[in-house]
Order: sequence, then structure tokens, then C-alpha cells
Amino acid sequence: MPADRSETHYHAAAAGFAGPEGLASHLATLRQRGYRKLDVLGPYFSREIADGLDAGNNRVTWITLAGGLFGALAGLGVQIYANYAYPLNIGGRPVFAWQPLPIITLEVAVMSAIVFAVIGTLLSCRLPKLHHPDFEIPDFSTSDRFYILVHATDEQFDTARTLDDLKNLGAETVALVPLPEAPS
Amino acid sequence: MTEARPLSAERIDVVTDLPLGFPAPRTWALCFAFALLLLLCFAVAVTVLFWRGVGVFGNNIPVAWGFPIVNYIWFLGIGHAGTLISALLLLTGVGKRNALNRFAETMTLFAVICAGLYPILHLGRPWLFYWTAPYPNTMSIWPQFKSPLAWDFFAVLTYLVASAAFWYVGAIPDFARLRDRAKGRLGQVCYGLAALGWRGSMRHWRRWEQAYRLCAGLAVTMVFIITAAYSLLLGGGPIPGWNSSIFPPYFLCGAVFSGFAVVAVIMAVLRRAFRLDDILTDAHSDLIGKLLLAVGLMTAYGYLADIFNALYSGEQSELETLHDRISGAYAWSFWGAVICNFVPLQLLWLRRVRRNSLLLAAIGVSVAAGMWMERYMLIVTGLYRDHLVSSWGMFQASLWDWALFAGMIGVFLAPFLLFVRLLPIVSGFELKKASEEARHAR
Repeated sequence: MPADRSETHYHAAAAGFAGPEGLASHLATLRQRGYRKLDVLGPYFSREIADGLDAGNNRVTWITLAGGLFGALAGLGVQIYANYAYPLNIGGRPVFAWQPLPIITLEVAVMSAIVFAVIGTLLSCRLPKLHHPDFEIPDFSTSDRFYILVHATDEQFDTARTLDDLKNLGAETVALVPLPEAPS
Repeated sequence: MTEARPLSAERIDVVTDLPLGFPAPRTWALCFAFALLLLLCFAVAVTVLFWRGVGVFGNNIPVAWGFPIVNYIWFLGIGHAGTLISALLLLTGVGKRNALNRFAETMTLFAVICAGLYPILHLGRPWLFYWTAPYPNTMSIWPQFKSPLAWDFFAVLTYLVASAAFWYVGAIPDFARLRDRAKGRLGQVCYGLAALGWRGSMRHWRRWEQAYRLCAGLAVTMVFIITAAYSLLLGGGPIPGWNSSIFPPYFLCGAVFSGFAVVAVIMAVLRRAFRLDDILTDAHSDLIGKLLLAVGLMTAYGYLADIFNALYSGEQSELETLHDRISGAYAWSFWGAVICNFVPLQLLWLRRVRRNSLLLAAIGVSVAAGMWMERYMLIVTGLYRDHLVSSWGMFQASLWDWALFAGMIGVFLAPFLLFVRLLPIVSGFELKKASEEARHAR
């Protein structure tokens, strides 16, 4: 790694931990030191850590609700439209009969809500992605390690000081994560 | 209880890395060859069907539905259990779920594909099946939405899309896990693409968790809506023996019953084949056994209610259908269903039997066969004797009926075996989380 690299050449500083224990309090410590652009990577969800990142929002819930409503309207709409656009007299039943409408309405609503939930989650996480600088963490493996990241865009980020701060947390490994080289 | 013992990290890695270092490639190849043979049978049966038309099947007037619909309902029923068991255990926070959900959901996915193929294949011109979808076309015709047959299209489509989405969302973190652990370039690239760039950020995890729980809740609702939809297809008609409001709950119980039975069988096979005694434990057998017993008894209640309804209605045709079922030409299907479904089931009152995965699997096989006979009984005895004696007729499954059924088992088995070979059969990250939490609870 060339010595003259300035902060702008780094993506983040990463501290690796074997388990999720104490990560929430480590986050609080880093916050006290003025760091704001923090992230934690891990093999499974930990509510405590996510709360420490104040990453909470209900966007996915709203997207799912929107999907359900959209599906219900679409399912209902197409049935009503089709009954009038192509009226069929079957056994003298009225053109507009409400009894069969809920079935397809509900089916399409559920399908659309689930599709919205999945696609909405992926897009709100800015996925899918072929690559991300986080993967440049040395020996990256989210299958059994947790990482605290301090992003280089943080105002308090300073290569030497941030690494020290992370080391003081008792991290097993500490490393600077370089930004991928732009293709020349 | 055995399941409270936390697994070592090495053991979890061994289990979730099964696709990376597959332990029994020869046995797998043998099984896969058998599945491909069945798949070949499917290809031949479908070719014959397309070449000669639906006349190759045994169904004709008056039994117009026959095998395709019997098997459609049977496969769809099996599918329901995978969704229900995974989603309900997730929502109720049962820790045992993490070992069961992945293969149960996969079973659902492929069972629904088999189910969906059947109604298409028994159309007169299967290649025009997309006419059941509402779309603006040059003929300016639209589907008849008051007909239950149009509901079927949406039922299968919804089930397929939703169960695939639920399954995939649950598998993304495991794809990422395999990507990180794969040694070869091919594995890294393929699993990496499937993982969609998942890197385990807690911000993403939180959204993932919300989405997964929402999908689970919706999936449970969906199971109810869809069984209701296709059971009303029968219940809504004027046919004696079908025209009953008990059908939606009766079908739901029967569906979940047959599905839990297949889950029990798959569980026993996987446990034995991969020596997963510490992951698919006796406690899991116990859980499935209890569920099977409970749903089985509910199904038995459905039988009784169905008979009671016929007797209570006092209608001549209902009573005759009941009589035909119990002692008519197809009485074997009624008694076969009653015996296979409910007699071995009673062994599950014993804790020792529930905790024995092989015995449980044997009961599962009996129930799967019994539920198939029940579907046969419902369809065929309802149709073969109408109100008018002049329109009575018998149903006999043809060779191609059986060939297609055998082939359809291949359509289920071949992709399922690929899943066993290429993906973790248990959810790795959930196993890890549960194990860590168990370790901390000590």
C-alpha cells in the first residue's frame, strides 16, 4: 500500500470481531468519539446492533402495503372491466356480480404484496450489485465474522486515529479498506 | 431436550458447506439418474398427449376430470404444507424451524410446479393455456371471471410467484455464505450472482427481516385463500357430494395433512443420508408428528362432517353419492383413504413413535397415499353417477395417465435432487444464529 495515500483513497476502516457480543456498546463508544458514518456487517440479524445503528425504518412495510393495495385494485379492476368489456350471459347471472370478485382480488393482492416486498427490499438496500467496496475488506467473510466499518466519508475519519480507535475496542483484526482502482 | 444443545461452529460449517464438498456423490448420481428416468417418462407421456390429444387419458364424460385434477389437488395440497410449516414456525418464533424451513419450502416450490402443469396438460389445446390470463388481445375476448376455472389460473400463478419469492428471499444470505466459503472460481461466481451482492449490512438485515416476516404472514393468508379458491371450484357446483360449505376447511386440512406427511418422509431421508441427527433431531420428528396427528384428526372431522351433511340433507342424490362412496365401484378409494390416513396415524399418540423418524416417515408414506386416494374418491365418485341414470359412466385410468403421474414425480424429484446437491438443505445463517443464542442462554 503506497504511503502517500490520503483519506480519499479509502473506502472505510474495518474492525473484525468473532461474534456479535459487545458490538452495540462499541458502536456507542464510536458515536461518543464523534463518528457518524458507521455500518456493521454480519452473518445474521441482530436487533441490538441494528438499533445501535439507528437503522430503523418501516419503508419495507409501506412498500408491501402499497403492493397489496395495487394488487387488490388491479385484480378487482380487471375483473370489473372484463365483465363489462366482454359481457357473458351465463345462466342469467347479472353482468356485475360481486360474489366471485374477492377471490381473484385477494389472490392478486397477496402476490403483488410479496413481489413488492421482495423487490422493494432489494432496491432499498441498493441491491443487486455485482461488487461493493465492502468486499475489499481483507479476508472478507460474512459467514462467520462481524465487522464494524467507519466510512472514509465520515468527518472524523483519519487513517491513523480511526485505526487506533478501532483497535482500542478490542477488535481481532483492523484494516483499512481501499477503494477499488478505477479502470484505466 | 436434545435441540437445546448448541452446535459447534465447525459442525455448522460442515452442514452448510454440504454443497461445496458433497459427501455422497455416487448415491446422489444414482438417485438423480432415477429421477431423470422418470423425467424421460414425463417427456414421452407429454409427447404422446400432444400428438394424440387428451383422448389418451382415461377421463371422459361423465368423469371429465380424472387423474389430472386428482393429481393437481394432491400436489397443490403437498405444496401448502411447506409454506404453512415454514411461515407459521417463523411467526410463532419456534427455534426448531431453522432446520426444517428450507427443504419444506423447496418441496412447496416443486410441488406447485407439478400442480400447475396438470391443468395445463389436460386442456384440449395446452399450448393456448395463456388464454386463461386476462390480457388485451386481437380477438377482444376476456376470461370468464365468474367461472372457478379462471380462479385456478390466479391461484397457481400466485402460489408459484409468492412461494418462489419467499424461498429466494430466505436463501439470499445463504447464497452469500456459500459465495464467501466457496473455494473454486465457478462456485464463487455462481453463488455470488445468486446472492445479488448481499454483504450482511445490519441496515440491510433489518429490511430483510421485515420483508421476510411480511412475506411469511402473507404466505399463510395465501394458503387459506388458495385452498378456498380451488375447493370452491368443487363446492360451488351442483354435483352431489361436492356441493358443501365444508369444502374450504376440509380441503385445507387435507392439503396440510398430506404435505406434513411428505415433510416427514423427506426429513427422514435427509437425516439418514447426511447423518444430520444433531440438526434434524428427535424433537423435530416429535413436532412434525404432533402436527401430523392434529391435522389428521381435523381431516377426519372433515370426513365425518361430509357424511353428516349428506345424511342431514336427506336429499336422494346426496345419499346415493354417499352410498356409492362407501359401497360403490370405487369403495376401495374411500376405505383406502380412511385406513391409510387414520389407522397408522393413531400410533402418533405414542411419544416413542413420534420421536422415531423412520416410523414417522412410514406413517407419512401411508398418509400421502391415503390422501391421494381421498382426492381420487372425491373427484371420481362425485362424477361417475349423475342425477340421470342415462349419464352414468365408469372411469378407468389409462396407461398414459399412470405414465404422466410417474413422470410428474420425476418433475418433482429431479429439481429437488439438484437442490440437495447445490444448495444448503438447512438454513445456514439461521442455524448459526440459533446456535449462538443457545450458547449464550446457558
